Amino acid sequence: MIKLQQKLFAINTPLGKFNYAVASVAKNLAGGLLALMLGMILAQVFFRYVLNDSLAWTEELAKFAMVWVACLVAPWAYREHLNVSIQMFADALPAILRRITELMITLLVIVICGIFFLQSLEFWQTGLSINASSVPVKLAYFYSCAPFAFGSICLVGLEKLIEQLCLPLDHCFAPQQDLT
Amino acid sequence: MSLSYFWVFILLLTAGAPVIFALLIGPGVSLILDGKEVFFSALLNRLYSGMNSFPLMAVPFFILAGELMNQGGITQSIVRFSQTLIGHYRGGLAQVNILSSVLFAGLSGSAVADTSALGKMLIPAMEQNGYSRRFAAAVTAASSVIGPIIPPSGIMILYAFIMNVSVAGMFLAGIVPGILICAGLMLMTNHIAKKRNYPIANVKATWHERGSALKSSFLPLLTPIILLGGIVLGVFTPTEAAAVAAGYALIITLFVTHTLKFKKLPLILVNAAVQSGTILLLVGSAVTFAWIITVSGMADTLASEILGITDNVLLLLLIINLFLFAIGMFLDAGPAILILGPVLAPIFISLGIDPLHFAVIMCVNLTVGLATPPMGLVLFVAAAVSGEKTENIALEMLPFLAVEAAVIFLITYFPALTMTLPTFFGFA
Repeated sequence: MIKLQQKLFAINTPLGKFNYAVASVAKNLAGGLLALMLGMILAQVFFRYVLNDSLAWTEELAKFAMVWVACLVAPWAYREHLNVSIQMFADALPAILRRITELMITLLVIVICGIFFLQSLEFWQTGLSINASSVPVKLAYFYSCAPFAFGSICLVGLEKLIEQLCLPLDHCFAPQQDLT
Repeated sequence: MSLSYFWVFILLLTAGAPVIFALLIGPGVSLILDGKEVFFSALLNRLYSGMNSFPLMAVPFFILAGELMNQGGITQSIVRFSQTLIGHYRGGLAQVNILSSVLFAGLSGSAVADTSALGKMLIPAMEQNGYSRRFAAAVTAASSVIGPIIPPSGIMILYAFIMNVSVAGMFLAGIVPGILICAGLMLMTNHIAKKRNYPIANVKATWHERGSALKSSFLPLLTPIILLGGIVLGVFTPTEAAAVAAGYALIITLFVTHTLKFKKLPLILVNAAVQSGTILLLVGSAVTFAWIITVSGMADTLASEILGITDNVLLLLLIINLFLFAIGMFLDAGPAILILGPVLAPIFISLGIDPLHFAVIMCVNLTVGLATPPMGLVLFVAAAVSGEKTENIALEMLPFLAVEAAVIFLITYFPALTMTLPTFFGFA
């Protein structure tokens, strides 16, 4: 049992480092995309009111950037417990039941996000033959955010699953962000 | 489609699963159980199109504007301005706390940001001046719910997006309830301050001091006026107005007040992106879930069940308010609006309630829920900022919660309170 735990930890350490690196780079990119979105929409207002010339591409590109922001943030939010949840009832469970519940939830997240990942690859493929309506860019570039989000969530889920299998029962996985 | 998705969702939610995953796993498991895996692509399409919306873009921009104002040290100038106005009354610092919440509401639109920013500054100051820590924390938490009621408001944008209601109309409809809560809290504070003999400041600010405080906070305080003015006059769409607000906050804090350094910008952008991203994913998942509710016929079933209780609209409104208040005790306002809005609003609209009126009732009720135990995010933030126990703050908050419940009652049964402004400006 201890050997199995050690083996699982041996897998989880590089997986954890990889997930952390991906999630960190992704959230920083999301910050950059947010600045880009702001620039595009301010340019849209400026061109329309000051130069009397509406830009046709800003709205569509800003929307795609926004979806990318959401997908880029997904692994970080999951890894750092930033998604809203109700912990009150789970907290009331005995440690062993609580751990089983956590394991079940993580397993379900991996399975369902795994199915969504496969679906999102098909979704991405549909974008290979279609251009965005306002710019000559294939929609696949924008749609690729979906496989990224679901794939990275699955990897973070796997890391969490191994942690939940190996760490002692009294270890808390609940949200620990700084509320202030 | 079977209703198993709903029970899986409830089970996951109570088991502590993140709401976003509960919203996706419920329908996902149901499709697998029903052998309808082919519909996963439809779920994915809904999820993507739920996020790919121009009106929704106002959410990240308002979050960014709030972060910029917060990090740019605007809080101090707003508190100073409030203090020169009403700091000399009995319980002055508590009144300053409430007024600052109203002014801050026009900038951030977030109750959590309000509690954190004002609480860090005012709770220690109130304690030093003889107020109990639990009272200081309770006033901060109770008044911060004004944040998402007075425009701009993140949750109102979410509601407007998911129920196709006018954002400008909702913003205008939120002004009177926000002011009513402020007035009610001030009266209650005055009553408590007299009863407990809380301190009274010896020195009243001169008009010169008031002018000087106004000067330093004037430009930030223009934000809601630019925003609402721009939207109501048709100069900007709400999304463009949110972008202009973020751009305006950036220019003020970087170049006018010089309270924000360039090197802090990347961190602010990343923080705003993370907050926005988590909300956008939640919106996408909720849109998917709402679609499943409609497709499965559950919305109709629920509607006939609710209408079967009574056909008296006033009684139904009371029941729904109690239900929302109970939901608000356990669930955050954003997810609650996204999940329940599409189910409840059509029922009341079919009974003749104005969509905007019901929208404001729901938003105000669930916003107050942010400060109610056992799962009040604002309460937790107030506890974290003050170092006081959550249960102590919750007990101290009871009179303030009574005021807020009374305001919910007033806006429910006197629609003119919410509908006059939007009707006057042609949004209802």
